[in-house]
This record gives sequence, structure tokens and C-alpha cells, in this order.
Amino acid sequence: MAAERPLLEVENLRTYFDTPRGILKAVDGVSFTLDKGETIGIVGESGSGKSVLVRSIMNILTSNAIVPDGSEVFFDGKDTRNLSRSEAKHFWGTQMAMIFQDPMTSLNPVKKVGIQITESIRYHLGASKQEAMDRALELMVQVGIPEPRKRLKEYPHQLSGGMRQRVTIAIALACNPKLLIADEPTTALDVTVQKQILDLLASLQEELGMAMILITHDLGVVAGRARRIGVMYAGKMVETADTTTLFHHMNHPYTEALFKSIPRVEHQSHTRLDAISGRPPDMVLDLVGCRFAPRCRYAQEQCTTEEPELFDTGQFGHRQACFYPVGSPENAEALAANQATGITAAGLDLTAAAVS
Amino acid sequence: MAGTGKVHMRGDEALVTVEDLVMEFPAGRRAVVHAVSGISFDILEGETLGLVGESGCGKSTTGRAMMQLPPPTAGSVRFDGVEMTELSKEDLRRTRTRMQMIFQDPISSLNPRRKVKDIVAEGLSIWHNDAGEMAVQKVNEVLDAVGLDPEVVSDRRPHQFSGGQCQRICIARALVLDPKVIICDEPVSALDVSVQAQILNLLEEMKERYGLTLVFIAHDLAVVKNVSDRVVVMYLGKVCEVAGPDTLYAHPAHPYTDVLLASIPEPDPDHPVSDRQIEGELPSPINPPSGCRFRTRCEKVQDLCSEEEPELREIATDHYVACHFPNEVPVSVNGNGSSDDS
Repeated sequence: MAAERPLLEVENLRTYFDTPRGILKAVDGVSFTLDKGETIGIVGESGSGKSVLVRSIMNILTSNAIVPDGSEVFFDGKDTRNLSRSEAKHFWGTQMAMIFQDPMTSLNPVKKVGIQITESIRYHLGASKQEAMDRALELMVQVGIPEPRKRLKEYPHQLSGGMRQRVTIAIALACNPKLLIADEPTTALDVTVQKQILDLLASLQEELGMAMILITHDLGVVAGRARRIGVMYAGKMVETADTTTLFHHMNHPYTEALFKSIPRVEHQSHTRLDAISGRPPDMVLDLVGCRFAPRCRYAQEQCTTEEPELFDTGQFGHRQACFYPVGSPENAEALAANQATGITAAGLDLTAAAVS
Repeated sequence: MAGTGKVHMRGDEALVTVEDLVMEFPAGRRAVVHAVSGISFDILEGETLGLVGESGCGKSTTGRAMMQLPPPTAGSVRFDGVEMTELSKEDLRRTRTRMQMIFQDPISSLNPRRKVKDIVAEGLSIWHNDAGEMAVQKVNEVLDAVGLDPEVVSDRRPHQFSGGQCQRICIARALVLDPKVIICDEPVSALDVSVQAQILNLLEEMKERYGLTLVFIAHDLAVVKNVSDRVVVMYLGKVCEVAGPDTLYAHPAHPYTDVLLASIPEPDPDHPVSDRQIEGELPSPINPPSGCRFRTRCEKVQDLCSEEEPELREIATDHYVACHFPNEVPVSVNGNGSSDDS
């Protein structure tokens, strides 16, 4: 028995899409592992490929997706990419389950909540209608829905956003999956409800011993929730570390920039935020050099010609992909050189960058 | 109907004064949704007023009622000395040119079939018949101001832009008629953190450059704190607390403000996740709780809370709370830490 093998191993995963404009490289060589019961946070902006990454892991891609050879996803020792359709059907839900950003669109508006929860229980576990309903009731209680018996007979539109997200969590948990993938589960919700949902996920995870992939664009959301964090930019993982190390020793300029753009309550009001100027690159193009270079304050000549690879810094499994990591003397030199000329090697105007 | 009190009002110097605003909607079978129940606040010229609260607390309704979209059930909205609720249709249209709105979802608030230059110029072409060279210049000026290159974007359509860029277009559209007040209804909630920072900075710049007065509506206290000069915390159609943003964060007096603050996710792994969490769901606005509306979810609730509605009272300098049992706050707090002309 390979008992010590991680629950999930992703090796050089690439997912491309064949679009009218050309091949879009949404995920371009991502590797990471996840142990049983562990939570990893994946952080990045819209379009960084984080949702495509987890959809590739679950093997629920659209038909125009291309996964080149050499991409590997092992779940519990099995290659999920080679599952047949019928195997995959039983795989989803019982092994891996997913909750999505918008609970209104991920629930069926014309079916009662109870039917939607019992559907997978009856399908996967072959439970009778009554057994499934009992289990559904149990799940509703578990995810903290008040008056569960009454709610089971209601339609999604009768529930608030937070309650709907609790229902999708109940559906995801119905067959005790080993891995729960939460794709921006709280982005559409209020801060107060976000906290309720994140607390709920954390307690359920502890109770059930599930592993979890938590996807978000907000570093604040993963800080207190994930044991490890991976930062994605333009289809690549640019930095991974355990949470404490990442926050204390941010190496990648993108991680630093994401962190600095968060408005903090501790700061005086009207504190100017350090926004990241510009936009992520168009991933249909052939990208040369570091993908973040055009928006990076530290960019040097090397960054525009050579692509940095993710490497182990040798400290607590901290991996990062930058030639001039934040906090290093090279980084300080690079910044000083750029400030002296007022423009980075990639053409970012540092004087203008201060404006927007 | 009992209001929430007016001790926090600053009198005649205000540019916009909202008094005892009530907004009710019929909900069928003679039921009434009490969306906003008698709130009052005022905004000084050049100030940014933050309205914070959860979904369903009536903050967007309040913002819309200020624009008379639709006109409030009761109460008064005075803008620059003019009573908005009593204006004729034509005068109201004219007044609205000086009060503009920006919405939450920038993509759906732009007409997908029109070009950016036409979207931004629409207000001008309605109000100035001499639209032409002057209008083009003005449109180019505002597009440039919001950080979009007029040459590049003018002939494009909204779908060719990202969410952040669409929000910039919306801001340009709001600016084109030189308004005095812009009501921003959750302008950054649909955006990524990195883009959110760009838009927040942009709003601050535009405020300075065009001498704007802003109403900033959001559910995230951290965001509101960043841009506001004064914050009104709302819950279920009532005002809970009014204070300067720094005071509010340092010394939240209302238990609800406390919970809102504790809900903000801290980007700091050493900062333990707060175990304070708001219990339960927002009560139905069709049948709101008696007395203090927050009492059903409040951890400090007493008998008095269900019997008597708390009114706003001053508990420290420029710090007002509507609660029978507020948290202790230092009596003399040294100001808001920010001023309008800084």
C-alpha cells in the first residue's frame, strides 16, 4: 500500500483551449500535491487559470479543451484523465466534489432543494427515497440551515444567497467526498455571510477529514483557512509555500502586489492603495520571458527574455519563480535601477504606475 | 413611524440632507416590505459618505431613493437647497444631471450594442443640442481622466473590456455632465482585489479633480473605510451607528458594527480567525422585529431591546449609536483622522 502517497498529485498539468483566435493556454504547466485532509488555497486574479485548473483536475472540461501529453493528475493513485465516462460519473461526488461561485446558477431553479440533495445520494449510494431524505435532513442540519424540514420542500429562489451556498455545500458533501473543491465559494456573498460559510467549511473539513482546494482572488480569505497557498498568474504557479512562510517571506513580486492591493482596516482612511497597474497578458499570444514582467516594478532585461521556472528556495518547501525575489539584495538593486531611469526593462513607467 | 434619530445631523451646511426617509414596497396580500424605515443623514460638500451593511439592509434602496428612483414613500431629500421629492418631472430630470450613479455590475450597466464614445456622450447629447466638436472633446477628456486612451477605446463596445475597464467607462459616463454628487452603489464588489484597488484609487482622484461629493455604498467595511470621511452603518432599514471611519474601526459601539468588523478576512495568518460570527439570518423586512431590529441576532440583547426602539445618541465626539447597551468607547476621541481638504 502506498499509504504515504499524497491524495492528489498534479504534475505539469497543461490545459489549452482551441478558440477562434488561436490556442489559449489557460493552464500552462502547473504541479502541486495535496495530502489527505489538507487545505490548499489557490489565489490569483480573474483569468489566471485557477478555475480551469480545478476543472481539469475534476476532468469536467468543455469539448474544445486540449490537454497535451505529459499532463498528469493522480487522485488516490489513480489517473483521473483515463477514466471512462461511466467511471467518471461515480467518481464525481463520491471522491471529489465541487462547489461553485454563484449558488443561484449552480442550483436548478425548478427543483426543490430536497430533490437536488437526494439526487446524488440515490444515484451513487443506491439509497431508498426515505433513506435519502433522512440523509438530506442530516446534511441540512450539518451545514447549519435553520428549519431544515421546511427548507427541503422549498425552491432555491426562496432562500437567501448564504442559504443557497449552504445547500450546494450539502449537495457536495452528500456522498462523503475525499476532496472538496471550492471555487470562489464566497465571492458572491456579503462579508458576514462569507465568514459564516468559511467557518462552516473549516469545521466540516475537520469533522469529515476531507482535503480541500479553496480558490479565491482574495489573499485575506485563505490567510486563516489554508495550510498552504499557491499563487497563480497567467496560467502558471508563481509561488507556493505554507501559509505562514508565504505571508512572512513573500518572494514573488506578484504575491507582494496582490497583498498590497487589499484595503486594510488598520490603515487610516484615504490611504492610497498600491494597485497593480495594467492587466494580465493575453494568453493566446506566445509569451516570452516572465509573464508578470510588464506589470512588475522590479523587471530587468533578463525578465523580458527568459522565463523563470518555479524552484525550491530550500526553506520550508517554499517554491517561487522570480529572478529578483522580493526581499533579496538583487531585488533592491533592480528596484533602485528602475527608479533611477523611471522605467522598467519591460517598459512599465514607474512614475505613471504611481498614478493608477 | 419612529425614525432613528437626528442628533448626528449637521444642519444647513450640508449639500445633501436626507430626513426620515421611508421606502416601502407592496409585497402582495397587503404585506409591505419595509426596506428603509425612517433614516436620516447628511453629506457635506466634498465629503465621502460610506453606507455599509449586509444585503437587504436598504443601503442601495437609500441610494436610489436619493435619486428619486423611485421616489421615497415618505421623508425628504434636499440637494443643494432643493427639495427633490417635490420637483416636477422636468425639474427632476434637470437636477439629476448633477447627481449621478455608478452601479455594482459594470458590464450589465453598459449597453452592449453601443460604442464607448456614444455611451459616454449620451448625457451630453441629451442636454446640449450643440453636441459636436465640444462633446467629443469632453468625452475624450473624461475617458482620459479615468485612465482609458480615447483613441483606442472610443469605437469599441463594452464586451471588449474587462470588468475593471467597464467600471472606468461607467465612471466616465457619470462624470461627463460635471455632477456634484455621485452615488456609487457597490462599485467594486464585482471586481478582483487588484482591480478593486485601481477603481478605489481612481474614485479618490476623480473626487479631488472634479470636486465631487460621493456616497459610497458597500458591504465591506474595509473598503468603505478606505474611501469615506464619515460612515453610516445600516441594518434592516435603520441606522445603527454613525462615525468617522477611523473612530468606527477603533471603537465600534454598536454590536452589529463589531460583528461586521470581525467578519473582514485578515490577510495575516498570525491574526487568529475571529470566533465571532453573526448568528442566523436577516429577519424578514416584511415583518421586522419590534424595538431594536438587530435584537434577534445580538449577543447583548435584553428585555428592553424588544420593547423600545433605540434612537441615535452621541456617545463621543462625532460618534453616534442607536443601541441601548453600546460598547464602552472613550468619550473624547480625537477626530476622524481625516479632513475633506487633505
